[in-house]
Amino acid sequence: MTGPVIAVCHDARGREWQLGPLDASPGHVTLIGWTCGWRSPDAGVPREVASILARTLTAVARVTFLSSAGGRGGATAESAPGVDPFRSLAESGLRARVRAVLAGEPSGVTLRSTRDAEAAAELFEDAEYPWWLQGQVAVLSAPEAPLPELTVGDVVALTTDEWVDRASRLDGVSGVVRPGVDGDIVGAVTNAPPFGRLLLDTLEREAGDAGFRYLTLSEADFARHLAEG
Amino acid sequence: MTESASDVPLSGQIPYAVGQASVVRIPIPGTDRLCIEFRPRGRIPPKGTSSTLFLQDPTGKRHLRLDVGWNTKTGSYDYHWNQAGVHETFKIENHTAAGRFGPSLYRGAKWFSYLGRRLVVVGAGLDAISIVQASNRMKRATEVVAGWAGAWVGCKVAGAGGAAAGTAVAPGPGTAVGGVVGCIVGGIVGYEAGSAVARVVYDWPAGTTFTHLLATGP
Repeated sequence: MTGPVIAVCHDARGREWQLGPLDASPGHVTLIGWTCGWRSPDAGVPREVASILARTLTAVARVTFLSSAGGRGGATAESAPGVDPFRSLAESGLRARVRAVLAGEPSGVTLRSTRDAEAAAELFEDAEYPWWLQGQVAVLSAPEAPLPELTVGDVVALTTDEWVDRASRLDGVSGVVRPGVDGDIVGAVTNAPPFGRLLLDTLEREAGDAGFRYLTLSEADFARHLAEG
Repeated sequence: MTESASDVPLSGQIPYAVGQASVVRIPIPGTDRLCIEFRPRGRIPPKGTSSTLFLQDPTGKRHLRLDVGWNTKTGSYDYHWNQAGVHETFKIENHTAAGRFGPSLYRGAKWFSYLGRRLVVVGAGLDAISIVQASNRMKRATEVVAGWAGAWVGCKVAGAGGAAAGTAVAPGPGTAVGGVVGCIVGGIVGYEAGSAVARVVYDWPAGTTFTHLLATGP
């Protein structure tokens, strides 16, 4: 045990992280892992880590994620002027809906968009879109810009192995964050190097403020660190 | 006089009662609404989940699930348990290796989940055919519906008992095995009992006669 650590890895290639074929886009995906200095008996993102991640994400971007709380909040302090914190997406047309049903995919989803860290932390806890079963995804976009124009197909694709490719083709999207294996790690992809640097610099600062060490590790050391933690 | 095979009415009792254990939420007593299931709660990605057995509450937030894949705790591929919020109940930590019987339990759950649903359809189909073939279709339909209801009740009651017994032996895996076995046995007995009750109730009015009440005037 080495005390609480936020660890990042830039050179991951392995399939074991369940984030798709990382070797097809080397260096695009950053893995973020953590150890708390004590072994939690529970799965999921520890509260302290969820707080660090949520503060980091909302400091640099508008965070839009799958939510089961759809529409209940109305306009709140978390929304920018003129921006609805919830948006329901649905497949348009009978053919698309039938295709979604046959493919076992949702024909509609609700997204929550926020710049509030406390609200963003719920993305790790939403039982309808379980982080621990890799059913969650968060889209990052410019803080003051309107929500990116997303379709149900976009959101579903971002939960599959083609997420890196799809993220790079979405207008107005700065990056995407989603759970890796068992929700034990975070996979982050950014569409522009400056935003990627800003995200990690902010993560390092937030980790330090919360008493966590920040380490950049090779893939092998990253895996070893998680196992030892 | 002996009954020939063709005289024995079709019944979906066995396939239905066995298969329903894969779709019914089997309660685990004393665990604040945890149940045994073969599907996760919540929406999962299109690629599905690598877990096959779930002991979970109605939201899925509190769960113990049997998984295969990369284990970040051991740094290797293995069969392991993932859990959240049920450590006190099952004494199993997240990422605990599933042990010697883990692979068998994992594969058994996977196949049972797949075949169980089909058995329910087969059982319901056989029951439907038996209704069509019956000389008294209304009676047979009553038996079948009561049998299904009895199977559901039997599964829940005996499944809960089996889960409790299994927990006493081996919390987690024992809970699942005990619950499913209890559900199957309870389902078969419940089906039989439900059908029998339906037969008695259906035949009850058969010998009944009604008499006119005499009108009495002032």
